[in-house]
Amino acid sequence: MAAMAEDQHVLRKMFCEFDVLSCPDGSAMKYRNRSCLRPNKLIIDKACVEAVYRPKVGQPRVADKTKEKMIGNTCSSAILSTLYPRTSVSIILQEMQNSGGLMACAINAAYLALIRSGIAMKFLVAAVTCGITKDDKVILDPDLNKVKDCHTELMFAFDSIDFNIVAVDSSGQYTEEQYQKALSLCKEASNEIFDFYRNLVKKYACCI
Amino acid sequence: MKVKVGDVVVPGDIAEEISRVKSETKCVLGPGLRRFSENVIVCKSGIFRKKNPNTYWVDSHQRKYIPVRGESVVGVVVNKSGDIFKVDIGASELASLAYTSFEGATKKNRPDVKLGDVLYAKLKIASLDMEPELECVDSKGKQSGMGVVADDGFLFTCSINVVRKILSPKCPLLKTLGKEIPHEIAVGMNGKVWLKARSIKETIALANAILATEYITNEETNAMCCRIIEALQEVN
Amino acid sequence: MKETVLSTCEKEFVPKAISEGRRLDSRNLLEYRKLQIVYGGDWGCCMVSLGKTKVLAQASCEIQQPKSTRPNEGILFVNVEFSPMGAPHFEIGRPTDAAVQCNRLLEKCLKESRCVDLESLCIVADEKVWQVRVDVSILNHDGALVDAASIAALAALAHFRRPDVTLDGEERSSRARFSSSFTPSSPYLKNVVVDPAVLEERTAEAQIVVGINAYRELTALHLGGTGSPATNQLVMHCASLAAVRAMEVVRMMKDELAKDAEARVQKSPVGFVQSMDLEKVTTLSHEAMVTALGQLNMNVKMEEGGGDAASEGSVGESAVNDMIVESVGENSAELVPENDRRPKLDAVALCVDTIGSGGPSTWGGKEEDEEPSSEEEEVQVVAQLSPSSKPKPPVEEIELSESEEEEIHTLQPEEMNLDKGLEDQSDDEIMVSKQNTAQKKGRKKRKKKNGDNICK
Repeated sequence: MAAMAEDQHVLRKMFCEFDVLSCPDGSAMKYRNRSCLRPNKLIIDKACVEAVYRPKVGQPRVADKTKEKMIGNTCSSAILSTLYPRTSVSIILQEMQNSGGLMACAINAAYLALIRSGIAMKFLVAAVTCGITKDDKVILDPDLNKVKDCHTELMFAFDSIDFNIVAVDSSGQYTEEQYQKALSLCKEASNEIFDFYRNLVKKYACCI
Repeated sequence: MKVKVGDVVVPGDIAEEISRVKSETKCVLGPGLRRFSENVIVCKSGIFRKKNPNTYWVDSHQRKYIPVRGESVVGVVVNKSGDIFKVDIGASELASLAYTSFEGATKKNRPDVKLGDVLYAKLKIASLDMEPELECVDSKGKQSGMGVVADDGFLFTCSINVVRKILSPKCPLLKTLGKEIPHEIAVGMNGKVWLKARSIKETIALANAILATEYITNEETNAMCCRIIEALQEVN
Repeated sequence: MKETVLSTCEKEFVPKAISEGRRLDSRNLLEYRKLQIVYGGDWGCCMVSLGKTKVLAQASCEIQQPKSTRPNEGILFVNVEFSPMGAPHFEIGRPTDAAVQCNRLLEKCLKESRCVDLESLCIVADEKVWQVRVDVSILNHDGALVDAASIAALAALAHFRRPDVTLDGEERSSRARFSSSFTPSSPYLKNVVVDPAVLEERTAEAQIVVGINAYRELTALHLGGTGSPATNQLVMHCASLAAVRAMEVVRMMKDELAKDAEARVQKSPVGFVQSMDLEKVTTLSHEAMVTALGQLNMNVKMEEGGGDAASEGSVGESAVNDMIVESVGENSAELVPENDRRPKLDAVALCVDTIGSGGPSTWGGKEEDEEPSSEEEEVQVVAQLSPSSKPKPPVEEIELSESEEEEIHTLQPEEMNLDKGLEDQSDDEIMVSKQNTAQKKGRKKRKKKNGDNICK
């Protein structure tokens, strides 16, 4: 789950399993989230992408709705929605455990579910979180312990072709320099996630 | 990332090989590939395949059925309205089937179709923007195996890959098992399979065998079939 | 999205198969699907899978004002969420009738069984009490939702640690007491089938849900369906089946709890990730496939048994039929063949395991690195909750009240005294009982008395 390297520039290890659920059309279980997807009917000339985010405790609040919106937007940027007219793509995410970097994890899980469902996409997206500690160090993928030392958290999502930014989410204060540093760090790390995606597809290639 | 035939691909990969195909020769792009300016881009994750001379596609995992014209499907009649049956074929909306799309059916001579019946039919119209439409006759007006299947037997749903797998000529499952366990089967490309063997026990056994092929290779399927047959021979 | 319509052949096939004593996943009628309880990294979080049915539960608590009618009691709140993740026809914010029923049943079951000592949740009478909230979300629907949800809710409660607040400081402990309740559902009036899969559930004539705890106390009973009215014997039969199952489930829950506690003491990583086997393609869904395959072979074995009774130990069809006919009282007899089968199933599963495992994954290799941080995380959680006192090993704090009941397997009413005695020994909150009647009425009264004792 984590690597205790000195410079902390390493992502925690990711886990994913496909086909955990039998009812939806594509499902993936990542370490903290789980998502599934089904296209269905909606009167519109292209696919309507919606995300549903369920917190573990209680009813969804405003913060969760914001998350949903963000995940939905990030996903619809990649889905070739014109290929699926009059359908709606629902991505349902259930929080299972929060060990930091929830937003990035949710986006990655959503993409894994999309990969599994066989929906046509322009590119993949990988999201990476990083935090800026009180002594102004930028650390990658902080877990709950390290989040406490951070005054700022930044989340970037990159596409898999040109590594352009698809989504940014930030909380706290940071300088432009710190932002640039975090950006380059996350961009580098996103490669690892794309490799993870590809390896996962490879792992499941036997049942194609 | 640039990929070649046989690779595992993810959306965004560039299929360089196709761009090199001479412009005057015909080139067919199957599912999972699309043209984007000069290049051909992969848009589904799976395995990149090629069939000579110039047909390319991506084999991917899929559970939701997207109707394709001309494919044979198995569906359940869920509604009757006017001249049309509504059939659930597992797609995002119900398919329609006219009364007259049966062999020898006329306005007066209506086919005997009840709600809940299982149908084996062909997709006449399947377009993204329109409701899919089924028919139970071939181009000569004959039924050629299509229509309502028998009342008994069992219907189950599996992923579309399983259907492709068991229908591929390389897969030994149905051939080997069919020798030992006589059965009737209707396999729809939509992932619905109707099955009837001599007894309930055999039907269940066959259904489970089909579902089990999802994660195993052809060699392993062969081994599994052998084991089942051996076990059956011991009984007899 | 509407629920898919069943075809006529499905509607006919399933009951026909059941009347022959067969089920689609080749279980026999009184066999349960594989139950798996996985505790998460957070306290009070667990995932229960019953075959393909998967349920996530999380217990949490907050301080609230008590109800004016019960000023010295905490509040237990149960919420079962049917999100579209479970099945496409579940919709958020619009619970179906089944969802409401499941919620009510579970709430009733947990409250009536008094598995949570509500009085111990009181901080200041009339002012502040704990509200314990259990959120159950259905992740995948494949029948027997009430079963899975109740196991998950109970396991989550048993795993949960409530911060103990005193006026001058904070201390962590868990004093909530849990007995066990369990609800199996059994459709088909003529042929009782336990733990139905979704197709069996939908083609069933009627359904009986029995809530029962490990001491054979009924906590909920729900009959529904369109079939002919249930007879007395049938209800009794179902209840006794449920009682056996409840013991099994509680035993399993405790085993898992102990394992989890041990893992936490040894600082080894805990959580859902540990339940995933990284070597294989399908760990969580793998189960279903093995069953499909394994039991296919089982089927064949059964035939052998039917043909040749001498073939060692295999369960003959005749034996299966015997079990169904068997009268209510002989639960132990029903269980024996099941136990016999188990090793065999495992053996089949083992040889099948190699199939479809997809081989070891070729990437990664950082598994060792993963432990330290998770360990740190655990320490941190403990420290956060108990700034004043050193963290005790959680094992001591697990206080399932029937911890010594494990050895007792028989379920005859005469033995109930023994059961009760043992329970009382292990239970420091309930006074030693004065009367040990095995009758349900008597026991209910006694319960109330105990409640009074706690009040004092």
